[in-house]
Amino acid sequence: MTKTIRFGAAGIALFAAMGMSNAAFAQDAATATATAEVLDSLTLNNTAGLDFGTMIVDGLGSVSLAADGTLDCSAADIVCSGTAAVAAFDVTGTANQAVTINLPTGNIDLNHPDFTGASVGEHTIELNTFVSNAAGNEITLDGAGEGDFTVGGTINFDGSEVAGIYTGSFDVSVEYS
Amino acid sequence: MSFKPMRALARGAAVLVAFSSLSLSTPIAAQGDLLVAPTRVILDGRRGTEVILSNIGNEEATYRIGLELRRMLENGRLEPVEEADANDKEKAALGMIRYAPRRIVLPPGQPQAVRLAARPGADLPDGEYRVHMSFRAIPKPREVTEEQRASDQVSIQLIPIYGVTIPIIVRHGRVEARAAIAQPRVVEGERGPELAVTIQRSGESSTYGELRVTKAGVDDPLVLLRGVAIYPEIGERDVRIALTPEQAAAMKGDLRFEYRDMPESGGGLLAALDTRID
Repeated sequence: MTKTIRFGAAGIALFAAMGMSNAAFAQDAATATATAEVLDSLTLNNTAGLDFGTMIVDGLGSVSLAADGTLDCSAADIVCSGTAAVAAFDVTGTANQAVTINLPTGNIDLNHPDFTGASVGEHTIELNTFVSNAAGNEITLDGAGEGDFTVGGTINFDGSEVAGIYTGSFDVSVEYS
Repeated sequence: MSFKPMRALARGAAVLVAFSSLSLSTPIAAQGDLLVAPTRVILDGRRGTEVILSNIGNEEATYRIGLELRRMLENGRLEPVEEADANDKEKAALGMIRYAPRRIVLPPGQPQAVRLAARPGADLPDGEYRVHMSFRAIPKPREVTEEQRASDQVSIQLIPIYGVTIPIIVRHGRVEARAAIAQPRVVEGERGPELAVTIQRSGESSTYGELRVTKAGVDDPLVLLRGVAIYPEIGERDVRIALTPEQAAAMKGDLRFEYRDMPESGGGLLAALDTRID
């Protein structure tokens, strides 16, 4: 009698890549003929966080971080310090496959711990204009099924922000079609 | 016969070992890193299936599983569609998919199956219905470090909520599609030469496959792009493929363009075009 065992493709691909064998598993699991159905898998790793460093805000202005990591802190009333870094992601999937990247399109509000509905101006920073280093927000995985991308963005100050740590989250998704 | 448990065990073991090797090669795995398999699901009967989600990060993570809508544009991009803007077909698609669980907490290296099935209504018109299943990591709030706290400046703590989406396709009743390749040409893109090809599609079904370009007398394809989907909402898709200078130089003479089913689906020919580029 024939039994079918389904494995995650990552399992099989990695075994092959690392020169190991998964025959032992197959034999333990089924005594009869085993057919492996290879499933494509997709992995996403966040290898670096988006970091604007620290800023002293004296007035209205923007700080933008390009997808290549270049920080534009040329606004007259804003002084930047510390290290800025773009968010970085690794994608592993099917070789030679194109995947699209979805970034937030609107404004993300970052709030101060003292934020209340009545103090929006001084306790909120707006983050927008997310950019990736991928042309058209699309990457094509290489012959080994690997790809990576970075994400930057722009923060906008209205000048009334109080000192402190502002917290917020943003969505990044990788789309398989 | 205890066939099912054995199957689950085999899969679990395979995926588990995959993680240990994965974490070897990516030592900087962060909280919420994830693996999803398979990368697309086609449901065409009453039988359900499973998608495996695994935590390949180095910390326990919470994942949220949801259904979203996307529409393909002619340039191949998938555009998010809010539920309020959904058309009847998209609403029907959202309504017929059953899945569980919707939230999973996984220790590092741990996989779990998400079960899903389609329950199309009895009077549903024949056609292809589609949703996109999203798997997102919900990060735990981080402790604020002393260095950050001591500051009289403004600093920002950004938490990426990141994940993947895969298409879930329901083929209900009789659906077909035809494809054709048109207008292959080499154009100068933003970042160098690109191969531009239009693939036309007709019928109620989507097409999915690989686009390969071969040169007369050369076995290996000059260009290969896998996973090219054309969904029913568009009648043609412009495919752009970035070319290396070598590929661009070779993209001359008698060329054969083929759009084929993926090899694991039999590799059947969907469309072909023999042409000459001078």
